[in-house]
Amino acid sequence: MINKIKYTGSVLFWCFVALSIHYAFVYFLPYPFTKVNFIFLFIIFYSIIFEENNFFIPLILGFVVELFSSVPFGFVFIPIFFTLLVLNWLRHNIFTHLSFYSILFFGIVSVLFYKLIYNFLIVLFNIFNNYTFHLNYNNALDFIYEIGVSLVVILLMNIIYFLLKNKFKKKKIVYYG
Amino acid sequence: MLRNNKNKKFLYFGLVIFLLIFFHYVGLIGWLERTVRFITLPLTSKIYEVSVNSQDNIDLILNKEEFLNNYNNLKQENENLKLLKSKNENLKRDNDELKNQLDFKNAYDYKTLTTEILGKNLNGGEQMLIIKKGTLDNISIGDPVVVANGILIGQISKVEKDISYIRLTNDNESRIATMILNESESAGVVEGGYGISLRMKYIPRNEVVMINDDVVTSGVEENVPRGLLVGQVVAIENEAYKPFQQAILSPATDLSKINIVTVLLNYDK
Repeated sequence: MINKIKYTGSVLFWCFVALSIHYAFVYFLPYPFTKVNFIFLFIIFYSIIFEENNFFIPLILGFVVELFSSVPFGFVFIPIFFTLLVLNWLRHNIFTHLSFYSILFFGIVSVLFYKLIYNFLIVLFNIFNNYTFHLNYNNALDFIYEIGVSLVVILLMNIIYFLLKNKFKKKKIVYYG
Repeated sequence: MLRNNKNKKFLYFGLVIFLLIFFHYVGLIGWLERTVRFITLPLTSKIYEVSVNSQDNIDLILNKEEFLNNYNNLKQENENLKLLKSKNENLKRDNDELKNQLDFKNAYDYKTLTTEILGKNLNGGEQMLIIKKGTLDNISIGDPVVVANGILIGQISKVEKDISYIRLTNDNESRIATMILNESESAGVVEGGYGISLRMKYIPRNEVVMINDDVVTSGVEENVPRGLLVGQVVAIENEAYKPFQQAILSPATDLSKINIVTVLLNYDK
């Protein structure tokens, strides 16, 4: 029972932390940093590091983003689900060992995959609703911008994680004699 | 065994997402959505308020030199304005009287709805604001949104029962039919997606565009009346090999510091 309360508490705590940082990015930072989808990056990072497949965090965070998102309901959940699926496959078949570079690679693949599915859904939606769809140099530049700043954030998260990991690593004490 | 367990978890995860999406469109989780919004909206609104108020401090940190230059310019302008103040006193009386007669809402023959901004769109990448009015208040997609006495800041892009999303003019999906207030009333399309500035495209090359010319809506577009101020020309790009010239605009109001907006409801030309 206590373990369940602890677990729920930790899930809610991490959701709160992710939302707070996301709000800080969206509301307080100047363009182009407002384009960072921190919640998604957090979900990816959390899934890579704590490989227990805790789906409560993606569900809660995804739901909140869906409620405050201008795209139709589901356009955030679907890319998150498929990205996590691909990530899980990569984690078990390609990069089974977690290192600084493998996490970076996972991050890059995830952001690209998420954006591709998301944009694909938007294009489909626009086509079926007879909305005008603008695919121009400006949109492409914006897309690259978004991926670029997301990668910077992943890199920072990665560095912070490895710094903390090394700092709190239990030192082995070897007794001789 | 372990892998099977994980696959099962993924299956359940997918199923929950599918059910959530299905229940959303059927309307079965409306109560849950309203509850989450009820809890988060006051917080979002407060954060937005703080972010708008702290924008000047952030500007000061990021562009200290520009901020100080602006401050000195304003100081100079303030002295000049003091001289004009006495002359303006008489004009003000006349103006007040005229204002009473020519109130914005009465000047145009359509319904308006004034409301507060609740926050920004959480899904990164788009320049959107959220207002706590929706279809219940007769808001519909495409309705223009203005501030002050007719400065266009965007259009409604998504409406739900009790909230709506405004796509700001600087969003990269925003397109508005406009014209420049010059001699030939040059027509063009204002696009966003260039950070804080806007770009007016498809201006005929032979027409003379000057810096500081005002750009207003042309009224060609459905739902958007003619004459709403969009911005001012700050630079012109007219190259010999291109059929059209372009103008870079500065929005008529700071789009990151908006608190109250007016939606022009179901404008019909």
